[in-house]
Amino acid sequence: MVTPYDIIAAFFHNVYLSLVSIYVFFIQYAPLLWQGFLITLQISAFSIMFGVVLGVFAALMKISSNVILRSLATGYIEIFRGTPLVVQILFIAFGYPLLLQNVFNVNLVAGSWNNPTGFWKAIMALSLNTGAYQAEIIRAGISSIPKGQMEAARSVGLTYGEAMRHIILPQAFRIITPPLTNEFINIVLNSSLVILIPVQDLTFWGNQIVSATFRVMETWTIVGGLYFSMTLLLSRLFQYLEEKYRIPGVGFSTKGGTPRLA
Amino acid sequence: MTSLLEIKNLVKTYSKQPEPALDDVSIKVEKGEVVVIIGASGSGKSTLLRCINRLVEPNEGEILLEGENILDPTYNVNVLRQNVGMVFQSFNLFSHLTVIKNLTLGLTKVKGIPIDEATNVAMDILERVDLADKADNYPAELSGGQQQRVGIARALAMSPKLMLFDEPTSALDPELVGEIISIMLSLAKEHMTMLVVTHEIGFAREAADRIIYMDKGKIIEEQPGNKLLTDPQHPRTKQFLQRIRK
Ligand SMILES: Nc1ncnc2c1ncn2[C@@H]1O[C@H](COP(=O)(O)OP(=O)(O)OP(=O)(O)O)[C@@H](O)[C@H]1O
Ligand SMILES: [Mg+2]
Repeated sequence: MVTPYDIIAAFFHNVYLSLVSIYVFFIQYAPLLWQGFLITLQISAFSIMFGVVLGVFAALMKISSNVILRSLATGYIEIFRGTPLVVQILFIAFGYPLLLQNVFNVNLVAGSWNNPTGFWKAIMALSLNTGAYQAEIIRAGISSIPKGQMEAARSVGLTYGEAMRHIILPQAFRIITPPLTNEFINIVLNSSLVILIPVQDLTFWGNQIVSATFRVMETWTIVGGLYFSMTLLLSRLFQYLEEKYRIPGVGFSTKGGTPRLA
Repeated sequence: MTSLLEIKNLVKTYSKQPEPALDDVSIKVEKGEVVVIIGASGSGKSTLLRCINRLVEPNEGEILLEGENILDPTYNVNVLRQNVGMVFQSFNLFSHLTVIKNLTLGLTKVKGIPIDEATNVAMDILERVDLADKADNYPAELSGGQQQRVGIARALAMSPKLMLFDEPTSALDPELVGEIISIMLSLAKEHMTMLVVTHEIGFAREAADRIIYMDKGKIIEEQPGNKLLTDPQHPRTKQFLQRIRK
């Protein structure tokens, strides 16, 4: 006869067995996941850095009085916001070298600028994509700074560039930290699409492990958890920076208080 | 002798604006003079001041600073702005910088003075406007009057030859106006050359070497001392004075 004790004992035995096997599984595949995690981290970090630079330049071009600069920036932003990231990744991975070869007669050299490794193609695609989104965020930040700030800076004798660099951008970046953080999180998550190139990132290894072990639930739980830990860290880091570099009267406090009107 | 500032037949028409904001304006300001400009809202007073440091580009006319045409394409606008200090109605302090940094930024970036020396210069000027104890505060932590004192100090720090004031007290509560006026009076006593747009008749009466009345982009009347206040000649000046005295 089966007593309730037997059922409970069997349950705990099963739990024990699965924990052991998950542990064994994890120990076995942790190095691969770790490797993928690092690749994802690197791709995201580079894309964030290049994306900010691109975003600042595109934003400045978009508000410039020069028609050519303005149209270049508008074209760039519209194209990269208006097409799927997957298409952008595939285009850069496979179309960009062909374009150079067939249209511009460039001799393709694997690993050089004209035919970079998958890793760098991934960073190119993600940077260009996020740069377009960031340009719009940064432009909005710049235009939220009262006109008087630029006028005062110019009237002290700063050039337009110096005024941007020392007066406008430092204030704008404080104001746009929250939407910019969102965009950084998007980069990390969107970077999973580079599996199409293919790049051996976290998602790539997750996929490999699932094919080899059929441990669907465990694998994707761990992979998801690793992505989550990256984005959580990122959002906490920027929350911390926002508080640390907060200045009374500039931007909005996350701890309440009234927003500034002028 | 050349005047410190000479404006000849200045015309400015903003795009999409049918009427000119400045219509054939000519003014001379000698070194050490205090010239006050009054006039109704929209009469072009701000436009005039902003042309002088080229925040606004006029369409026609000449502006000579110590005899040199500042509208000449070869004239360095950033040098011009070091020589011409501007005080704004809405203060426009750099809100992400402390009071002292508001003053030293121009000294270090524009004049290339080392930061230690710049800080000394800035502290001296802050003491003059009685704000040395607020050096490390941010603009948002100051009262309006204190902010405008920093605004004046920031302009003074560049040791300009000419100071432009665009309604420096009109954004202030009445009880804070006095502290700004007294700083401006002491500048006038030290023979700082000043071109002041203000409706503070008290300041005009006490400090003005000349008062100019503007209306619709034109200079309607110009009188030495405070004659314009005591004995206005033009009917429109009389009308305007009556209105602001009520
Ligand atoms: N940036 C601008 N673009 C278009 N029109 C402008 C601009 N600035 C001023 N104007 C116009 O030019 C005219 C003169 O304006 P200005 O600001 O010089 O007058 P003001 O005498 O300083 O007035 P207030 O006493 O209200 O400050 C007004 O009709 C105004 O609408
Ligand atoms: Mg004005």
